[in-house]
Amino acid sequence: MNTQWFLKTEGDALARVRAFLGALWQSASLRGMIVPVFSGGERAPRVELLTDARRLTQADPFAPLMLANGARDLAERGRAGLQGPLGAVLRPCEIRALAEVARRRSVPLESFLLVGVDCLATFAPEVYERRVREVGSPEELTREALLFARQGGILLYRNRPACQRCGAPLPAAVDLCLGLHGLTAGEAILVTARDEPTCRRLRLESITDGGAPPELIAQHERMAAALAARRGRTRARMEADLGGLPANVDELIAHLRACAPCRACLEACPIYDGELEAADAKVVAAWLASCAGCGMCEQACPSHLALPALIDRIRRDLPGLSGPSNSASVETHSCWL
Amino acid sequence: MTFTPRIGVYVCHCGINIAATVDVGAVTQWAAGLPGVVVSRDYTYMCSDPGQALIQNDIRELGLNRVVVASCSPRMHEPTFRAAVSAVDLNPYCFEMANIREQCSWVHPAAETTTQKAMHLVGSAVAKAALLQPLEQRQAPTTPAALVIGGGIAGMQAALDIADAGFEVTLVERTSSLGGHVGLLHRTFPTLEPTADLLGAIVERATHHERLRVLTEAEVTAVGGFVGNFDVDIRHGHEEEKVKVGAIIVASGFDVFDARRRPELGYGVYPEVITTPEFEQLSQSEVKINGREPKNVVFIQCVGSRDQALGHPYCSRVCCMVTAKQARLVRERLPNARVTVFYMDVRAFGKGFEEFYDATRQAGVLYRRGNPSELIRRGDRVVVRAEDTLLGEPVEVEADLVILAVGMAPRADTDALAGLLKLARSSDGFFMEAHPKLRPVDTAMAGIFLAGACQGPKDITETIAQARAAAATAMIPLMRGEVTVEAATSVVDEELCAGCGQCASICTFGALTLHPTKGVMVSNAVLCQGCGACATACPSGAINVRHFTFDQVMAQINVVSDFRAPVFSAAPAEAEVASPS
Repeated sequence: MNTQWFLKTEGDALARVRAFLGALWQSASLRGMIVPVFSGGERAPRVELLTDARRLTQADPFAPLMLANGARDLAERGRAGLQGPLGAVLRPCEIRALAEVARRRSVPLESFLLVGVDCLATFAPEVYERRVREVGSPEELTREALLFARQGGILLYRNRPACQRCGAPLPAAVDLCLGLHGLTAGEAILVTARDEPTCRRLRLESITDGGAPPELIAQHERMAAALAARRGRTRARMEADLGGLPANVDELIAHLRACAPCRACLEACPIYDGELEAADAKVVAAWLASCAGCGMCEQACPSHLALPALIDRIRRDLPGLSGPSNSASVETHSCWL
Repeated sequence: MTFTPRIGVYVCHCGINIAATVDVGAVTQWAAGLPGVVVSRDYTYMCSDPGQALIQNDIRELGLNRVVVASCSPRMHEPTFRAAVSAVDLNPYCFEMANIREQCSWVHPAAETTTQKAMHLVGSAVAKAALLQPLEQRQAPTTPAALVIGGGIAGMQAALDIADAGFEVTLVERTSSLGGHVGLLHRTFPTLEPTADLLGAIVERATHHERLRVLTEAEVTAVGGFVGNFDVDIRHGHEEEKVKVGAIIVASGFDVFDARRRPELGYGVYPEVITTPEFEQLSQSEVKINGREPKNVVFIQCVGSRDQALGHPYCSRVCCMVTAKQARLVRERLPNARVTVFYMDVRAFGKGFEEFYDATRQAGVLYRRGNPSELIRRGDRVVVRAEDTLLGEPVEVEADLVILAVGMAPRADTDALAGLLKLARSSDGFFMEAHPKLRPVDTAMAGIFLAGACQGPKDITETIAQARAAAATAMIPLMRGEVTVEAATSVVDEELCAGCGQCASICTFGALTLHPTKGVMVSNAVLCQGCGACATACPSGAINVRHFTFDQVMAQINVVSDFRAPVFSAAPAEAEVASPS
């Protein structure tokens, strides 16, 4: 049986995805869904736990904005033993962080239905606000982002630095992927399931518009490869600009301790769990090695220190690198393409 | 077969303009080691015939396929060198220029870092040259019509010449009548001919010419397009209309200097103090002030001219002769009145001017050299206080009529018009010509020309001469019927374009449109002027400007980005000033 399906969007990908999430809610008998939504006239969507499927009409999983990495919040809900099953719609970097947090703290994720979306990259919050003002509404900005899905998103330099360097904007290791890159989002988007039992369990055959045409799958794969190459060049350029910033674990520890009063970066990190206090370079190295590349640290840093680039440079030299990597080659995700 | 760049680098001394500050030999030697460079030479004047021949010879002998000249601004000699390489069958777009004069030797002291900067500029040009692509220049048809902005004597003359040559002309005048400032004059110098005689005939012809459409109480509200094909929006009364023209002549004139900006001269306070334009009106009837004929008349020259403090350092050129003319008129009309002229220098440069000035003095007008410091009231008269700089002593002259020879100032709305037409202004505030000597009626914008006092102070003779020159130059594209369009235009990558239309919304030339079936934008190579605004606006980087592609520009940036300008400390200079030695 096929694991790749598609949705006909008929000019409005956002509306089609909202409807699809509603259908998924039904077919998976969800009790709730964690997804970014517009609530109370706010300009920016926030991640919320919805318990009423009707509120999905305000959901926006594609908004080019990331205020926080949802992994930590989700792991806490998992640990609290929430009454499942719950759906969670996440970006690739959130999924990478979630897997890492779950592994380190033994959080059970079975009660979650994990839905990953192709990330169209995000703006810094102030840029997002300005662009929303320019185009009129946040939903309009999401539509603009979707318009450029076929091109693999807009020009890199307009996005957050972490997104500019992200070589894996396609989700991996989830139950369901919503594929956008390389596709004309106004016509069709891809739905890829983990395996055949998942397809049957979620009744994908009836809630999608059928098996994905091979040319859509090929376009999606080509764009994933192009994005990985494009962003690889950006990573090399960013690394060249790092200059004398900390180049190994000890230097980074010293650097972070020196700007201790703030700690905004540590608080923003979905994975951080007091490693810096341990005064053991190995513990810190393990934390750095597990970096999901979401760049929340850089966004939170008052002086916008290029932490993701720094960490990438440091961990490349670490022995026995393990854990997810935002610079992982496309091949490791090929099962999800 | 893969393309291998064979680059020739030519470093110009520009006499001592570059060579005195930059170590030209070192730059030349350094450039020889750059990737792709086959030959690197220096020469005293690259733009001279032998300099050009040097390049042409190397192209033939060494098989160069890209040429870099490091010399002045491309605005100066890019056309020269493009023509030179074209003459030996190298595409003009395979030529690149490094500006090591305006952007280096003229603005830095002679130092090691200045030479290093020149090297970086040359290196960046070489990096771009390796990536240059030959481009084909195309021709576009022109609209056989012209627009003239301003209905003064300059605008009318230019409009008449173009209309006489057989082209349709639209003349836009802001006020309700034609004639401008000349219409307010009584007589002209040096012939004392009544102005009405010469202006009347021109206005009459302009009003009734079959190919000249005069729009009074009208103004230009928007200008789009390019040379040969301008689209102009005109507000005419309450109506809006659009006209298509091939060339535009700006003849918007000047403002009279506001004498209230010299409060010590009492203009606007004492009724006895008037300006030269006001005397023109006065002299058309009885010359009376406060109800009686004045017995002592004083002229004060250079009011609002040659005055650094007021920001008018330039000479207004006409006031000396206006004063001489008016002083003569006073002597004729009021033979008993004493006439004194306070002057800084008398500039009687035109044909018959010096003779006229001599005749004025022989008619009994007293010229005293000195710039009056103030006017004060004494009884029912005013007193002009000045220092006679020839006698070296202070003088006081009582007067019952003081005439201020006010200068010419740029029009208050010059900025607005400059914005509409994208014209540059010179430091005096008037519109700037493309070259002070060689292109005095052209502007930096192709197809837009200047006539009359909007470009700088002028008398009627010069205004007419410039108007006719502007008309003749403007007719070149109209006569030819086609213009060469810029080959460095934007090009849309259909793979990357999402058809969002942001580029079209900012393109002032209307060059970008949505392809009806493909859903991507298309750039019209004739309308596109290569400004590059679309390339920066495109969210997905789908638009490149030929000759300035991302790759080419990034290659340039990569070369210059490792250059660090030295940090100069202000401390030593201060210490030197402070020290008693």
